[in-house]
Amino acid sequence: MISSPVTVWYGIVGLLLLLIQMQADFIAVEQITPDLIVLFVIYLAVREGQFVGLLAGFAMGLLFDLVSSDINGLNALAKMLAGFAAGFFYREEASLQEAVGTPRFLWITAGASLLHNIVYYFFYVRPSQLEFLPFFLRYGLAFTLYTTVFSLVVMLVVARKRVDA
Amino acid sequence: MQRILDFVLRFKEYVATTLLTIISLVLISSSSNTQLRSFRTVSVGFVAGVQSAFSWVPNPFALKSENRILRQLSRDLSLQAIQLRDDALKGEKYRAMLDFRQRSPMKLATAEVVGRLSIETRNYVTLNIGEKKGIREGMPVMTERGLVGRVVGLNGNYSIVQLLTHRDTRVTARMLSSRQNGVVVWDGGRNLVLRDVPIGQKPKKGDTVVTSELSSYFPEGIVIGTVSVVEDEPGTLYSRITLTPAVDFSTMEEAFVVLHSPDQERLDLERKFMEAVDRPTERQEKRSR
Repeated sequence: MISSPVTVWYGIVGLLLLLIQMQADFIAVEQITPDLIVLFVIYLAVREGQFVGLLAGFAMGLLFDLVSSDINGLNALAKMLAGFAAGFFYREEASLQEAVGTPRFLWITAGASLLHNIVYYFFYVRPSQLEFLPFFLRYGLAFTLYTTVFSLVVMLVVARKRVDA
Repeated sequence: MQRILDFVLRFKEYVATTLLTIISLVLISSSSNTQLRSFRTVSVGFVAGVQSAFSWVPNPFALKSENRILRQLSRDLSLQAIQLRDDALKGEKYRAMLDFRQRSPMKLATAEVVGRLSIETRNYVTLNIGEKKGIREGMPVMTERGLVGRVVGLNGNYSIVQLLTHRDTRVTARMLSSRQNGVVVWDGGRNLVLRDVPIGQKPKKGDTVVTSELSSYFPEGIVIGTVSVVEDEPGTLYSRITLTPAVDFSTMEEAFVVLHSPDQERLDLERKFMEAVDRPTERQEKRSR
């Protein structure tokens, strides 16, 4: 069970990331931005468990849908499933460094982010004439890759803490 | 009931996932909900404010891309500007030509210069009209600025024009102000020379020289050029008057052919006379050798 101060802390970080994600153009490459929210959801899932991860994914995704003019419920569903998938790699006894500070975190991020983008683009292209596969291969993989690259930063920061300690 | 609660608690992740998936799908299918839309309007306004506040944060990737786009745009606009300037100049020229054609008492056929030919000191241009448009050999060619030369060869669709800047060019001309006649020839460079003007007739710089009514080929009054230098020809009683041609032959793109054929009877007579005059001279030369 997460303590109240930590929950508040996660809440603040989550809201901040939401705002940064809305203004992520400054780190965009060819209009592709890393999905910081899904990265945070994956972090929560491997750190705090599957249940926390999927609830956080749903809540943050829904909030993001509302503020980003996206299809309602789409980010909620995709991010919740990403949290759910990442939660399978949760280990209760693992420390922060073990959970996040190893290359394992990169693979979890890549997998969960890929699932997130498959779900997201599957529903995203439905109202339009776009074909899912070409669109996903063009954007979905790029978003996944960039998010994974960003998770490397998180991994390295946490791993560095371990070395310092 | 207890069993159900136990089951839910035991598989809370799956139960929650199922429930939230259903909620998400319901939301996706009812995304046009009015209440949600009004909330979204408020939230988008808030986010826009935040985005505006952080808009000063630069994106190096976007800046690079923006620079590339701006450079491309700048190149395109430069090309467009050149094109527009060119079009404006052409428009101005065509207006002047049209105006000239309407005002001119002569019958004119409009032509485009489609080729240039330069053989040593003989300069020609090719026009894209020929016999099919009523063009005949000897017809004068001009622009709205002045005389260009005359047609010396042609076929159905093209004409070759001998320019004033040709070593064989001889045009009987007169000063517009003093009506003094002379012969215009090419000086071998960029200018023309008016010869055979007596020293006493001192023209002024800037005076206009036009074709004379004595010319065998050209109608009277077509501008040839303006006086730029006047000097005495050493050892003769004549002045050497340098003229700046009215037409810039190097940039000429369009021209008019004056539908005026020289009087063939007169040309034949003049040619025969010249031959008759030249023959005794040749005999004398042979004798003196």
